[in-house]
Amino acid sequence: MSHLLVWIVLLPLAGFLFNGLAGDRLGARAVSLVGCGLPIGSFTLTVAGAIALAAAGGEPRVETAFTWATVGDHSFEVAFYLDRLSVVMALVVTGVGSLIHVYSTGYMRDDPGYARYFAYLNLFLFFMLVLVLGRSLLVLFVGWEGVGLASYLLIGFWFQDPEKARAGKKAFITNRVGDAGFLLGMFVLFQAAGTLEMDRVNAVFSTGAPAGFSASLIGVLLFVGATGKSAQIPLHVWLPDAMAGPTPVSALIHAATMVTAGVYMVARLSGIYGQAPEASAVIAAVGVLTALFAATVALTQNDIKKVLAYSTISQLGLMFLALGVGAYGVAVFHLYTHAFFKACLFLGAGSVIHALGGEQDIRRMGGLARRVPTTFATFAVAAAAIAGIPPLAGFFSKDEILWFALASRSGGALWLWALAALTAFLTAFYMARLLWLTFLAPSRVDAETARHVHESPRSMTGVLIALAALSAVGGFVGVPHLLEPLLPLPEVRPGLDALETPLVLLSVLLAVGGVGAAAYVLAAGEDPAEVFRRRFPGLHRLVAGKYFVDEAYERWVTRPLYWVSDRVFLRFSDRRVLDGSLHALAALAERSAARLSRAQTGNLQLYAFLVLAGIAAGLLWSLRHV
Amino acid sequence: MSAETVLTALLPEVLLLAGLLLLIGLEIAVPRHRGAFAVSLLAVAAAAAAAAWLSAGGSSAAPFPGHYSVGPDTFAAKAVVLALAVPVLLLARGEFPGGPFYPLLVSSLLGVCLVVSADSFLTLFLGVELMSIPVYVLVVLAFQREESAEAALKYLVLSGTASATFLLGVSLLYGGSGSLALSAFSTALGSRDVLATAGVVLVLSAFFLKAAVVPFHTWAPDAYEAASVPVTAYMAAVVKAGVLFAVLRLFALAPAERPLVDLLALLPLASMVWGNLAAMRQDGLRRLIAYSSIAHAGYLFYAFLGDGPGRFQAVTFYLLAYGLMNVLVLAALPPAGDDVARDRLERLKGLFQRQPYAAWMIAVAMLSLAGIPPFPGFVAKFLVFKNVVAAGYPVYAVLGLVGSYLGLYFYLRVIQYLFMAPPPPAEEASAAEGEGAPSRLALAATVLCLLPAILIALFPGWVIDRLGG
Repeated sequence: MSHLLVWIVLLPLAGFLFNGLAGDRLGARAVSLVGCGLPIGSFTLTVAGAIALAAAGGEPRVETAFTWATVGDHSFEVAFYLDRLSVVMALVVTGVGSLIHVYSTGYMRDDPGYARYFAYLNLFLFFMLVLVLGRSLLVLFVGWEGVGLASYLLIGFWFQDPEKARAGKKAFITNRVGDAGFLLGMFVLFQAAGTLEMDRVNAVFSTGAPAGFSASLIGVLLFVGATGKSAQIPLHVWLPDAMAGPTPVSALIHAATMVTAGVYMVARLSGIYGQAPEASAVIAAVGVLTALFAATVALTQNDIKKVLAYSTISQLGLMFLALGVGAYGVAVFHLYTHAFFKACLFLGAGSVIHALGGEQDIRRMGGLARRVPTTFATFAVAAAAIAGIPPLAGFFSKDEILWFALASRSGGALWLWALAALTAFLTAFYMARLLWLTFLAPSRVDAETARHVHESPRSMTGVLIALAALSAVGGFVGVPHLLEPLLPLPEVRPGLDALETPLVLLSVLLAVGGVGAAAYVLAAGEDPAEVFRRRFPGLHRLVAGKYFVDEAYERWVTRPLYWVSDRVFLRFSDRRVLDGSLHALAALAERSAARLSRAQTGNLQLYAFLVLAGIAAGLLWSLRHV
Repeated sequence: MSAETVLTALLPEVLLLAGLLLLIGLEIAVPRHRGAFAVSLLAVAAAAAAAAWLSAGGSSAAPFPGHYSVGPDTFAAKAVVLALAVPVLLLARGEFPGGPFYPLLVSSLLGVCLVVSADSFLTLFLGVELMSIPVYVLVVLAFQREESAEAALKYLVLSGTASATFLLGVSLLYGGSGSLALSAFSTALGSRDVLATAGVVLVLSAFFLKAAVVPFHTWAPDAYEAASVPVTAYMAAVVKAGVLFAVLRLFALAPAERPLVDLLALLPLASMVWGNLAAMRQDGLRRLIAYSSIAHAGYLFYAFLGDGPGRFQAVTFYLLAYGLMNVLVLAALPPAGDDVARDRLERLKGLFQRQPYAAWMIAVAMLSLAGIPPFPGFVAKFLVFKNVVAAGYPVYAVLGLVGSYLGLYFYLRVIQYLFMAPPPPAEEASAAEGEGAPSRLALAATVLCLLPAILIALFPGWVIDRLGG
């Protein structure tokens, strides 16, 4: 098929149009069929594309859909690009995406907005594929903004609840801040490279940054965009709130795919970051700090989805750490394994919430292992995977990140490794706590709810099993190795080769130690978060309050901005200066309009006079200027 | 030249003429005017299709050398004009079940086709008169209202003045050049001769009058208001197009030079300002359209400041976008008990709650007429002002843009009525009572306007290429 990539992108769009325009009238069955069938179709085509790519020895496939605009000498084409990197992303997006669509047919079954939900979900998939497959940064940006829109629509899906509508708005606005940086980066990049097509950009930067331009400036500006989309410090605040959306949405958008767009973008533009050691250092530092910060917050959260949300932020931080030390393939590897186990965890959480009739507080759960056995088993596998227990998927990718954080010649350092290792330990710890309190601890579910606890329908558990299986064995696919021709791994610092095996053992030890430490406290029948609160009340207040970042923004950013916009812009500029002068102008216009209308008396003699006067004046003017 | 070539070259006209003869025959032979609508719709649509087909085929010929010639450009122009007439006809069905409306409209269209192909002043004059004379009668056809006759008379007298001015100018040009070919005009543009200059100014004034450019615009508000809705649509979309195509033929590829440039800039500029300002005070939709069309005549003549090929593109594109939007407004206007009530802007208040589709259509048309992206009117204005800047008159371009911003006020006021204002409570009952859903034909007319509008909004480049130039 000559338009394979175009079809991959267009199928979900067709689903959006169908479900959005006609879904409500055609009933849930047609909606599910179209809403799931088209993404699965996209996935099938992507697999076909992957096979063709493998057959072609990894030679990138380019398809130009149409020329969007030609400005001067530059023509901006809407072209799609399939290479080793984008194929991995597209497989994750369509594969996990299709699974989550199927899961949603069970989860959203009784929602009155069923068709609207699937329309939005298809729309999201369309934009995500545009983002992933776009050849030009401009096309990527269209997808980038589009997934933001779809995310906004889905977070605020239950918009009747103002809290949820607000969460949608917060996500949108926070992302705008990042996008400002992203756009600036794009402008500078276009100036520097003369093109926005990412393969060409990488080629331009392969011999160093063009004269007069700093690769690090471009890198940092683009990374600002990534901090917004991928929820890194300081723009991470929207992601926990985004949990207001339906849980499958959290799994698809806010864990597996959209939030990894920043990681993908940096990996895609590795040519720039390879020439930008300063930008890379910034990325590594922001990544590791975010990872640690979010892991500590996850320790203290009691909402099952919030724990997972902070865990996502933390894992994304680890991916950025890998990017920052030049191990791009490893970052994509972790992105890929994370998509499986985090989607599984979120969907498992959804299943639990479903079983408990909407309860999200883990303090009111427990003892569910026997009541919802499939959910428990799959959740446990995924939790073990994220904790880094070998040989599950998370172990491989996390271990490689830790190794390169220490050993990479382009930016590896002991402190990066130490913080990342601490994060790994905390991850194992809080996941063990989550698993214990939800499934294993004595039940704290109230009697009424307990009577209704039920395992989810097969459409949901089937997806859970599939994702758990992928979380278990996904690590054996050597993604970094597959990507190596495109994204070579960084060299190892001299003298560190001998450390590799001990470090693997150490990271196993960290994972097991984290679980063990949690088990030690939990076995005593205590919630570690409680213990923490008792022992260090001040510190606990800080961590459980999410380091008061939201409050700080409110105090130091929102309120001053509000004050300025209210006093300076609204009351002074807008009302007094602008409105004042505009009202004066409007009054002037009104008065002249009245005067002009008065000329329209309906008197033919006057009209004829005007005509003749006009002709005479025209003649006079022209003849005097001959 | 073989008869076949001549017939192919004249195919749109032949189709129109056949339709016209058939209509006249029907009028005499068949009682109660059956079939008039169908025949005229068929004739006009067939002629439009033929013109489009011939334009795409790139055929050109001169069946009457020196008087009448066709080429891809002229076919494209004919296709635009005739296609605009199709939704107008759909609108007319409810208003005029039969009678003189249809033959008059078709013969006027025949005049437009003649104008577009004219090579000599004689053909041009014939075409312009054939185009205008039926319109005087069309205005009068809404004779349920007493203003109609008065307005038609004013239009007749002032149009007569225009014809006289035109003939005087042509005779001066003829006296100077000894030729009746239209090229006499473009040659005279560059001449420093007093008689030639006077001829050019007189001819131009005549067309200013026909196109309603300030200060020759006075007939337009009265005539537009007095005519019934389809006739207003016809005058705003098709007759204006015919006049502008005549001017395009006259100028050909010749650049405008001083002192004519100032005339070509200042009067249109005055039109924009005057039209947009006076529109603010109107409370009738057709009067508002009339003032808006005065302003748009200004933008259209502005395009003549630019160079030749760009000028043709800009004007044709503008006429298409502007014509579609004007017809769209009038087609989407909900019907009412009587014609005067239908016209009142007050009645549009809160229309969105009652008829969301109609409200959206009027809103789209208003935004497009105001020239707001991404609507087609924006691209049209952009082309015009781009040409003006490219020709080296940035000051005029800036002044024109300022003038066009005045128009935002009244276009947006209509939108405010549609969406934000609740209907006046006392009139709510009566408004709902007289106001029916738009007829199926009117809906079809809105679709016919909307689809090409979407096309030219999405792919302006493709459309511009098709329009030649």
